[in-house]
Amino acid sequence: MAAAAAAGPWNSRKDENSYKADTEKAESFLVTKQDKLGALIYAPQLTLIAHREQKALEIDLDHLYDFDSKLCERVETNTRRYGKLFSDAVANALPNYAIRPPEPERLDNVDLYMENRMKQDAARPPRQRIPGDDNPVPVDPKDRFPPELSRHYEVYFKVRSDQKAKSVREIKADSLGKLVIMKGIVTRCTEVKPLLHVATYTCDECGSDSFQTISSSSFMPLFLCSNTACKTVQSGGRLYLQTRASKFVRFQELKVQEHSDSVPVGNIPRSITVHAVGETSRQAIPGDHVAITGIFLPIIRTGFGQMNMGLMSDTFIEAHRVAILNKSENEEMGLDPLSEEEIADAVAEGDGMYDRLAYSIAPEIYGHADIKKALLLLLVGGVDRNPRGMKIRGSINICLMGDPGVAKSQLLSYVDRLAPRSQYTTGRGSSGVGLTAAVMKDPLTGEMILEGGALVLADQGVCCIDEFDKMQDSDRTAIHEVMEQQTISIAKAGIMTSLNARVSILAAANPAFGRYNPKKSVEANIQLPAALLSRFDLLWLIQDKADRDNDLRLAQHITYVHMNQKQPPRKDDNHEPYDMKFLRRYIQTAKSYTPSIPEDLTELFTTCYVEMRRDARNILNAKHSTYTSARSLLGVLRMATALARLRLREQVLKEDVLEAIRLLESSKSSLAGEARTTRPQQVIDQIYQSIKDLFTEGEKRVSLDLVYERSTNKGFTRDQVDACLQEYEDLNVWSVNKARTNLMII
Amino acid sequence: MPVQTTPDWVSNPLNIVDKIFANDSTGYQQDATMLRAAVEAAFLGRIKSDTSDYRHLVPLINGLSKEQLQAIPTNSLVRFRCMVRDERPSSYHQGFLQVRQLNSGDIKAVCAMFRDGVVLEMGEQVVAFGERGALSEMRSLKCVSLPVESAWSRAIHEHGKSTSDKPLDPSQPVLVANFFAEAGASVAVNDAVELFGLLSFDDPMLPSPERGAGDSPAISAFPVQHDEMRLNVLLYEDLLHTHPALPLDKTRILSMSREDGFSFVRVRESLMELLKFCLNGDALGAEYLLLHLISSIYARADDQAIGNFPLNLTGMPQDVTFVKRLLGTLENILTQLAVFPMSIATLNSALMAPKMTEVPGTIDNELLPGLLQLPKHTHLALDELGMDTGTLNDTGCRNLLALQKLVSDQKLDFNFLFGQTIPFLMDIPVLVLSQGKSLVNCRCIVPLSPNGAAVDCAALDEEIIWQIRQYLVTVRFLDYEIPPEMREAIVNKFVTSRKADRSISPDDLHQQLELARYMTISHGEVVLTQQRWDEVLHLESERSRRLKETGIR
Repeated sequence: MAAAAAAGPWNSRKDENSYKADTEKAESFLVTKQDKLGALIYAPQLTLIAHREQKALEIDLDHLYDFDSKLCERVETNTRRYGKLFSDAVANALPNYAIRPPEPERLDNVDLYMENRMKQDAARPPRQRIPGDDNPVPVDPKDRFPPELSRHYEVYFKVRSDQKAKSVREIKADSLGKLVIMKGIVTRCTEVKPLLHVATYTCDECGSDSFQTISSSSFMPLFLCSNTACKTVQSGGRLYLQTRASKFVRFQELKVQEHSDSVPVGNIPRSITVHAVGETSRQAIPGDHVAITGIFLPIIRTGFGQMNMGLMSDTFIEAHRVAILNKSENEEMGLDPLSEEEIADAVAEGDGMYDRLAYSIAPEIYGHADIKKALLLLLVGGVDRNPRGMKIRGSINICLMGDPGVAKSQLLSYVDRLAPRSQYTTGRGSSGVGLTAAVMKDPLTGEMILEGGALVLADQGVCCIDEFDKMQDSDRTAIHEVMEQQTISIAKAGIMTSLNARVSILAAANPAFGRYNPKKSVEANIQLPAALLSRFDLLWLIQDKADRDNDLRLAQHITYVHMNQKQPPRKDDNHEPYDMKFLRRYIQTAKSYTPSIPEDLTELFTTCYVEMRRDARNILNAKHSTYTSARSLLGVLRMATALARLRLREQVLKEDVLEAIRLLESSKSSLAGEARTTRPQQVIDQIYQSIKDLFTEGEKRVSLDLVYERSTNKGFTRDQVDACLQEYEDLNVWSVNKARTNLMII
Repeated sequence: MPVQTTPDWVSNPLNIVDKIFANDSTGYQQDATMLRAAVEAAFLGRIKSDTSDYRHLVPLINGLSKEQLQAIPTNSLVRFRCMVRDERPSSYHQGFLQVRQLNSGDIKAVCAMFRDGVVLEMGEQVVAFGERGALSEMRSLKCVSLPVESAWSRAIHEHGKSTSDKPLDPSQPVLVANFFAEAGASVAVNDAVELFGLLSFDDPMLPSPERGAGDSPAISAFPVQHDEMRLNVLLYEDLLHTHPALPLDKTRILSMSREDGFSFVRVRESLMELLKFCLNGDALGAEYLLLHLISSIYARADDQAIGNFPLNLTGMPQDVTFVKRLLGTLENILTQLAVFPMSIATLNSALMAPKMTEVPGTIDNELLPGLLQLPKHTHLALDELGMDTGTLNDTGCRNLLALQKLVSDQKLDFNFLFGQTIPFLMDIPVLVLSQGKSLVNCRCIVPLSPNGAAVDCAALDEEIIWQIRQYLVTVRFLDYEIPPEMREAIVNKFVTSRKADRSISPDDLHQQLELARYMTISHGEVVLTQQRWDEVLHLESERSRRLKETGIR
């Protein structure tokens, strides 16, 4: 624990012998470690290093654990020291791996300097022994120069794969001196600067060299020559720093801030400084989501003089590995995707799962099951497609309409809270700049910067727009583009650019005349152009119907909240809503599926389309004709893929298409007002399922008597079965022969 | 008040710490939190007893300029009533040191908590950093003087010094409060706390000219801010409320309200008179304003702020003295009132929510303070009367959205760069003064209808003002309940009236329940009765009648 940490960085009284033994072990690990196929892992890299063709040697602690678990644990808890030991081990092993000298262009100034000095030493006559000098000038280059000067590689460790990345907050004192892996977002980084690693001095009297290896952030330069020659004659030789003969490494400081998901309520995200030296520098820029492996170390600031003792120390991480996480990965980081068991459970539950998920959307709002299902589809989204270069968006756009006070805004704000990347804005409150993007001038540099408005900020997320009808015309133009092309073009202050805005739009609109008039067309009610309305996959009219039970439940709910200061518990177990976190995880997992549409469903789509067009022409009058177009078909396609995602499947099934059509129709009938009551869809679906089960493998025909018998056994009336048969016959799913004896699947 | 001599525990508190440490130095070195607890207990006993409060003996440093702060002796005890504005990355500190006397060779343990550095005598040398495990995390919070504290409240601290009329010196430096040995874990950003600690300014880790360290040419890669002022905290108390003369304890506040000479009903009447006077005799407006003034968030259920009661008074006369008198009166009875004059210019330029920015010259970031970063129970008045037509720029839109979110959800989104925003839960009752319906949507809009009949309260008795101030804090602490039979009645009434009129929304019921709560506790009662419920319904029907008359939807 903390005791071990204190012992780590500061306790130097360790058994040197054990370090020596560990260095040998490390060497044998590097030389002999093989992968599963028997190929050497590190030995080939040593050759590359000897030839100066590789700089960073990354040691995977999985391999080391495999080799010697005790050694691996020592590396993990005392990483800095063991980094040196491994570096020594590499140095020891390296001469055996140098097949040829490195290519001349890979040599640097320090090499030239060393070569030069070696030549000089050779040319110089053997030095006279100075009386009293027990340390004649060594000639072995290994001893003549400090080891750091001649090492052209860096050793890094990679944590074992079972270690989970921590947030900045979770790295505590007990990790001091240890290897940690943490995740966060880079908020700042300095320029890469040269850091003096080995300082080389030359004496102005005797001409000999002195070296100083620097391992801390500041150092005290040497002034007086300590060479024996100078000391003996007391010539007082002065040392001068030789920049060209000194070794510098790249050095960069990063500030990594913890991801906002892992911040407890009422806290500020914590951040930590990361020192990226050598090969780990220049890996990340501000804004990147990163996972950084490194050693957690204190900055010990020592006081000057004996009067005061510095007691406080800041900490930093010495980077060993800087990995950039792409955006989708980082979104998963805060949320664990569903486990395999959870996925299996969800798939097993089937429709029940779908219902319950929908029910969990804004559980405080009763009813409106189909709208909630549609919102669920919006959150999951369909699959983006690029057939032959044409881009078809996968995101689903929904517009909710309704009389004031029917929980439209509540639904919007719930979705806003639930979606990981979402923006909430109102058509009235935001100027064009807020909804699209602003060109800003950096007050310091005078540089022009583009700042994304709500739509750009919601890229890959949901943009909730309340009071959609109150929006300015200029914003509507932008919305047009976003809804179809998923980009925003900006031409302001000489900047022409196009920003990604892959968003789903969830809009809420109030009727223009106070209340929705079902006798008028949608456009007339909302006063929005038809072209814009057709971009919505679903338009929904929410109506507040008198319902005593509902009101009672509502009032009881509200009074409960005020009496007990919390949400009432729900009794019905099956309908216990999932909490937001589970929903988010589920949606995250569902999004990872990219279901495809099998060939045999094409027919069904075509039929549907024809059906929908006919529907628009015949049954309803002209008022909905603008609303059914080729776009509607794409909408069905999108929703069907979203449904397949929701069911955690890689293939779209017929049921998905049918459910998508059902939702579309349900939304249409909501627009038609009370005139068309919605069908008892649930029952028909159930009958359809039970009939479908009758078709055994490969069988295409089933006797109608059997259908009626089975359905009646399950408690459905003959009328309901007929309705179901008729409905699916209309959809060309099956057909009943003229004699009404057989049912045939098409 | 008689001049008191500074007691030893104020002038040299570290003496006491060291004495406590000496009692059981081996034990405390094993567990620094034990020492911290012992120190806290020792100072708590000195600051207050069951019957009296001695915190006024500790100098208050609110509003002092940098120079004034530097004049305070280092390591003497001071008191800081502050709001936590930001958090610094936590660092580590050594609780204890082992020091050897070079001559005698004796080794002694030295306590290094609650201070920046340990002063060693000649011939002493640090030989070890304490016992193993003595290294502990230190929480560092950036604190500022309690924002918008009312003049009367500050005057109480300063014993009527004439300086109290002036607004706080905005140049007061931000203090970094260090909490030792896991203390301060429960203190969050935006909290109001009273800190007792030791001031220190200079950085012992860096050479300073006075120390004659000119011969050390060390270059540090980590620039330390020289002007940073630190407060090493010995003890802190959460400010449950910011009334300086009331105890920080619910039971004691409530027992004070039961003392002779205080009656909720009578104070309520006085307050009604005062508010009526301010609103030119509008009793309905005064009633709503009174209920608004005692509102606070008492629960959050499923992200809904229960108790949130923002009020929009419309039909304000375009009369500067009217608004001035109203706001002046509110400032005189509330402990903290922030006023934001809403106009195109102010909206376009202000920063509402705190935003992370770079500290130039370092690798650090810090929060740029936002106007709405205010501790709990601070009241906010938005004066929309200065609003004119114009274009809101992007900042303006964002500010308006931030205000709207605060009003409807009591949340403030802090911006942490790169799309990272974190909502902070606030508790700031918002009063909007406007001519027509405000830009900021409030659930409760009351059009004023002055009728002129009001008792002149311009020179109200100081004693009554004093009681009103006490009243406004005390009612917040009253427990409240809805008896089951009342609930039954309310539910049934809702269902039947909704049957008749579909325009009655669930939000209306929410609002009635909030009003019922405040109506009940404003009378010093704790159980909802039919009478109070009827009063609320009456108020609401009066209000909706006025709304219809003025044509506000």
